[in-house]
Amino acid sequence: MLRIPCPHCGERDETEFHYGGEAGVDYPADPSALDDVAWAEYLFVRADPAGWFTERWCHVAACRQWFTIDRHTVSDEFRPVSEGVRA
Amino acid sequence: MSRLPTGGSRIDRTRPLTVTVDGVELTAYAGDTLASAMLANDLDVVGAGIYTGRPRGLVGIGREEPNAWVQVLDHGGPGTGEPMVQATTQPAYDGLTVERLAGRGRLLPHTDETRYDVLHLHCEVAVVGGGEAGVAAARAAVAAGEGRVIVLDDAPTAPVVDGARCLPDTTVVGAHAHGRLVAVQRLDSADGGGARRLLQVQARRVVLATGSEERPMAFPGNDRPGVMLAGAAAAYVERYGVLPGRRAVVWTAHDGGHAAAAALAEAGVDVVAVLDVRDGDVVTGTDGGSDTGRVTAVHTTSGTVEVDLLAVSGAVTPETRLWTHAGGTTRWSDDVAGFVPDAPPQGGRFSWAGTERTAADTGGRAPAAWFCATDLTDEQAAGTYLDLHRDATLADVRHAVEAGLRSVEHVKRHTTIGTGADQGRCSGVLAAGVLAQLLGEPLGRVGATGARPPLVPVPFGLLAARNRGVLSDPVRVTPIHDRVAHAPMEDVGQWKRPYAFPSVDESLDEAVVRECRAVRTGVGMMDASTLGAIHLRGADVGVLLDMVYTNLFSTLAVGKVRYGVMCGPDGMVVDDGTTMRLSETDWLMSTTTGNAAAVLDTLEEWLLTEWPHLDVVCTSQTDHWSTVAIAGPLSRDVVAALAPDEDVSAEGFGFMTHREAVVAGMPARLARVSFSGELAFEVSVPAWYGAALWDAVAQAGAPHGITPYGTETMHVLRAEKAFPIVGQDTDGTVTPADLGLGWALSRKKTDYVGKRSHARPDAQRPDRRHLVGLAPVDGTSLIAEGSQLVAHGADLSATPVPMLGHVTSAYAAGVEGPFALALLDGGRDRIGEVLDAVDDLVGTPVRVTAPVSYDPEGARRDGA
Repeated sequence: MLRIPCPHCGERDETEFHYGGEAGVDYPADPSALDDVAWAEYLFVRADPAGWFTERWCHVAACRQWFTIDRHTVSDEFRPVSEGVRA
Repeated sequence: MSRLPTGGSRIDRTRPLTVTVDGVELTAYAGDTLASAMLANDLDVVGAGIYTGRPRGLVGIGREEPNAWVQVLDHGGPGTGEPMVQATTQPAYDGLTVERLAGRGRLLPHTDETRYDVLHLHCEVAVVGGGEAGVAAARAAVAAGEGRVIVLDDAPTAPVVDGARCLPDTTVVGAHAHGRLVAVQRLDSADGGGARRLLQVQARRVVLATGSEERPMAFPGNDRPGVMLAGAAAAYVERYGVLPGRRAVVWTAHDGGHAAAAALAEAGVDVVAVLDVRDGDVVTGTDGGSDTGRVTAVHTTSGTVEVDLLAVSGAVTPETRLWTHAGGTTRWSDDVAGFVPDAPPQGGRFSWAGTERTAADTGGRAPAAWFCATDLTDEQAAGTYLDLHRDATLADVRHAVEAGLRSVEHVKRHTTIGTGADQGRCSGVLAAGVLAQLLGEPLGRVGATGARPPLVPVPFGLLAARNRGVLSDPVRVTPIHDRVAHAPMEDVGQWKRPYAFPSVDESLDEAVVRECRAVRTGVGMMDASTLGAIHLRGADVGVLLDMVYTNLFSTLAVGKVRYGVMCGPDGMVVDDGTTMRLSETDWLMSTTTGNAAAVLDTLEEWLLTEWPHLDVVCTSQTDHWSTVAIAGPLSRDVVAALAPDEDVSAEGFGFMTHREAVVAGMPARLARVSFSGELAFEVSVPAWYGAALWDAVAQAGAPHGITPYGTETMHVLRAEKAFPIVGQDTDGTVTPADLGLGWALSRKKTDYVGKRSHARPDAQRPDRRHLVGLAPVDGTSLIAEGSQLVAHGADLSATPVPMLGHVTSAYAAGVEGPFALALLDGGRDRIGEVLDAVDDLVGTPVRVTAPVSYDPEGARRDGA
């Protein structure tokens, strides 16, 4: 059971959260301008590192806010989003 | 009897009791385990080999025991029992009834009625293990003022640590990320019953003080009853006052074996020899009796001795399983002759506390890393058991190596050594040691196999605890439920909804036919309160809806209702429903019953993460409204009677409009929407008026013969109109166009969620699976939901049979008889074709039809 630090509510059990996958994948400003490969990249291709990963969570069972945080995918440690990564 | 007249630190001789093993009553004392009771009653054979069927005796005294598995027939209450329990960990209590097993239990033939519970504990420090190291760690934590300190100890009596809470009879079965422990606490162990409590422990810091475990050495004939771990043999004397044998040889690879030999001798065992591999003494074989096979003689490199007990001790090494659960690593230690904790689990929440003493600490001799002789013949190897629980031998490991396996994990899976319910406590290091010998590699490089939770077998019923039966999932009912609760119910998500309303002399199918006819020709009423309702408020709701629905919403006028289809970015349908505009800034969206929460989540995700500039606030109102649908050509008359002030004529109250009104004296919203194709209204009132509304509609409709109808009738009526049910007729691979809803895809809007995906070549393929109708060729055969569609007359034995599609919805009671909806490859180009709908290898010939089978012109929505 992960203990996830919600920036609004503090550390809570994983069961209160929804996972949102890799952070920083913006909905394209003009999807029609993208070719099929670029659109497929947006839809399906995500990083999957063994190590630090900037990802999104939603605290659905409480404040219902989305937030971005770094998690180490091997040790499950959390830390604030690293410098230079867009929240 | 092998019970000594005195002694036994764990038993209470004033409380005798009886346990029954395979129909034979054994006398024991409170505090005994089932295993110590067996030993006290001279039960040499405690189990049998899982494959060989060879008789097996007690080896250990705790969870390292590989042989003594029992089926608990009666835990002391009706409906209790347990498939596979170690006799060494099962407390003896009056009435415990078991059967011995050959390594494998039987699932209970009935529901497990054992009392199980769950408790969540939160603490600053959790100490696992109540031994010397655990107590020291707990005292240190208390002294440091760390906060709440809990000690979890699997012994029947917990230590006392001032300022800490000590839980006895508590076995931690899993150690997980972020300081989460899962433990099993035995309740009332002395008084019987299998009652247990699952503990979910959340700790800031965990100290693992799980102690050490003893391992054997292997030799030919080592599976005979009477071959035991030396430390276990001595502990049976100390804890339970039971002699494990009369005349013994002790064979050891470390100093601890000599201490055990001394303890046995002091208790009265005739210890005829203490052999030490460090002095070159090796056991080479055993003889056994003709009855139970119990050891009668031990052959060693220094001669043969006649004994009834061979006590063996290979080494004592740390129990690191929980350490590795949490992500810690181990390394081989020559000092200990075993794997010891190395790098701690990441995150800093777990630490190890041990009192392992090396030879350097005690001034003794270093232990030998000795596993089994290297010069055994094939015949001897086949009788040298490395894993007694799995009946696997040295010959099996040799075979694995000859087959080319090198990894300890591969050898484990090839031989099954260490895969048993004892988690290979007696076998894992032995097998690794033997593998290292065979490969000529150091043990540190071969490594140990991984351990996974749970540490000991745990009943599924305990994991479920109270979340069983009616408590397995929340039950949601509408305020109208009391009025319809007599009907058979269907689960729709967490909701209970009436399936149909059969009269006493009517079958369910007959009721559905009657209810359908009432809606098509007269008037029916249904509780529609379960549909998801999301209130949207703000200046930009239209902008949001234009993005999340495929069609245009921002132009919807106040007082109007529009149907919308919602897709994911991948272009696949995720929901549909109607949305009404209540005012310039207020809208009410309805969702599929089972999808309400997911749609709200999706809307909020877009608003919070992509379009935070939009002025929209979403509020779930599903439980705020009670809604009754009034459907059928006579519905206008019923609504006119309910709301006499309203003009409900076709001209005065158009299709897909809504208004606020007073209905039967209640504030209400009236809408003209239809999920059946018939003239229909929906009346919504604040939830607490639900039952009153239902009664009022029933009363107003009585002169017209109004008929309550259920979900199955609703499904038949909507299916005849080919209104899809998202999640039944769709499965995440279906686009609006596949459903025939291409008209709902806006070409004017520059974008909506899914639009770019709808332009992908794959979404444009003409042979995509389309929603079509099916009718049985003979007009009467039922079509099974989930049937695969194949070419008519296809040879079902010539696999693979090309699959053309599948049936998503099927009903017995359409206007024209049985019919179905299906997703079919290129379906819209196959209308008129005959296919077979195959269920359970029987094909039913079906004709492909247009999906809409009733009133395709839509003429009936304004009334007959």
